[in-house]
Amino acid sequence: MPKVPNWQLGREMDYPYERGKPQRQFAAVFNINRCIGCQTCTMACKSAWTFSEGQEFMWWNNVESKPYGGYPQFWDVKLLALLDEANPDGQVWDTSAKDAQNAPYGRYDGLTIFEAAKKAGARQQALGYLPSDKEWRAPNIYEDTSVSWSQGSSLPEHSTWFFYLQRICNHCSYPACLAACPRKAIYKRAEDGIVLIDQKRCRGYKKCVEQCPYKKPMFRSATRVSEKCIACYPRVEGKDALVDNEPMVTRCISACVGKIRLQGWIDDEKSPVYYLVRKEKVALPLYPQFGTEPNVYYIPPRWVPRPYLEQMFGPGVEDAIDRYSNPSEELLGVLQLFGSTQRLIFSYEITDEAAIGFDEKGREIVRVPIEEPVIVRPPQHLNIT
Amino acid sequence: MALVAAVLPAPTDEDLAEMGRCYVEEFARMGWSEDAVMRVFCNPFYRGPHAVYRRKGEQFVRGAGRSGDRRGWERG
Ligand code: SF4
Ligand code: SF4
Repeated sequence: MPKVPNWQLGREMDYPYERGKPQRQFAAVFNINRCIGCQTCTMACKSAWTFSEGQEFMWWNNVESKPYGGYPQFWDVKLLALLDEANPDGQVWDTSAKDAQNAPYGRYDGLTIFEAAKKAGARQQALGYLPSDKEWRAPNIYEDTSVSWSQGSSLPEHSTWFFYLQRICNHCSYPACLAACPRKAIYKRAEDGIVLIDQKRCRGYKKCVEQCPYKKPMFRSATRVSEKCIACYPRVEGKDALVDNEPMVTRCISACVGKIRLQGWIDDEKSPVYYLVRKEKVALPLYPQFGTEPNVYYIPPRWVPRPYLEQMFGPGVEDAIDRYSNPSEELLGVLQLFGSTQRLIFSYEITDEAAIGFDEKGREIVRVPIEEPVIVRPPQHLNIT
Repeated sequence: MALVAAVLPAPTDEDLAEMGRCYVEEFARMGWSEDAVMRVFCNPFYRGPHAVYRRKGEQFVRGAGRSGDRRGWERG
């Protein structure tokens, strides 16, 4: 297997193909601290792309309540268990081996899903499993299970910490779905790194469903082929009828009620996403140890026990939370850009008064005041009961 | 691996406090006034904030908005 560099792991790793670096890489940051679990993103995606026959199991975007929820059920617990079995007690990081550019979180000394498959001599390109039909059946199982405030009751309270995890395809730099497909029906676009399934080539072997560690390709029995999030590529290309050839963010990102999402490029220093991930290091990849170099990054929730978060987002958690809780002026400004426009922000500027977003040609597309004015509705128009 | 055949860490008082601080600071960063935030926390309809309010008390919630965060109420 060729060796490819993986900056999230701070080392090279095995991958079935040579590195094919796109001109630029689609990426997004989701701020978990702000998500209210309203599922508007989920429905925005569904109404745009997956409304037709067989749609009931097609959730390209889903939001699950951690730690109990998951779609398909137990997806991450099962993958972690498989990896642990393949390399008992060996899935560890060396955080002393840090390097700002090539190893910002240190070096991962465990096995990735590609390396675990190779070690096992399995026919799989990446360690994985096929979820059962039952596990696909309940997209929103255990939502909000652990939140309650019981008044007037003497029963013991059963509440614990939880948080919402927003999930789309990660448009990985080293996609396991692509590595797994025997038909070579999955490809990564040279222009923006978006990973797509060519549905004409797909024969429904479900190898991508089996080997994507995030379980984001879904098999639709009505069409007998697999499908997945397409990063709203017509919008990214500027083909949405709403605007004139201007790149727009995805439906889930533009519809987000909590304004928790921001889209950009991971490899363009001018992008606010680059700033959040590579410079400020406040947003982290999801399960980087899987080895696919995922390109959706998360600002971790502040109140969740650190061992759980470190397992999920790697060793960068403590620093990320520290920076988010004590933000710099620049970070506060960039956070204002989240959900501020449907257009894709390519670069930004933070002044004392405003956070300003620019398009690809450097034209201003959005300006958000740092101190937002608050307008209180007059009493006769209050809509709170 | 913490999730494999292991119990999840139980919430501590500090976890709850941190969740409460996070709620308050997110509102404060959006420019909400102390009064507006208190109305949310006092209302049982908003279960998460209300649970923090009931367990930690009014002074905690007010204090969370005033201290620490640079976008807190004191600035506004
Ligand atoms: S998240 Fe899964 S489906 Fe998406 S690119 Fe990565 S491996 Fe492929
Ligand atoms: S729309 Fe935004 S706030 Fe609502 S569930 Fe989705 S990510 Fe969370």
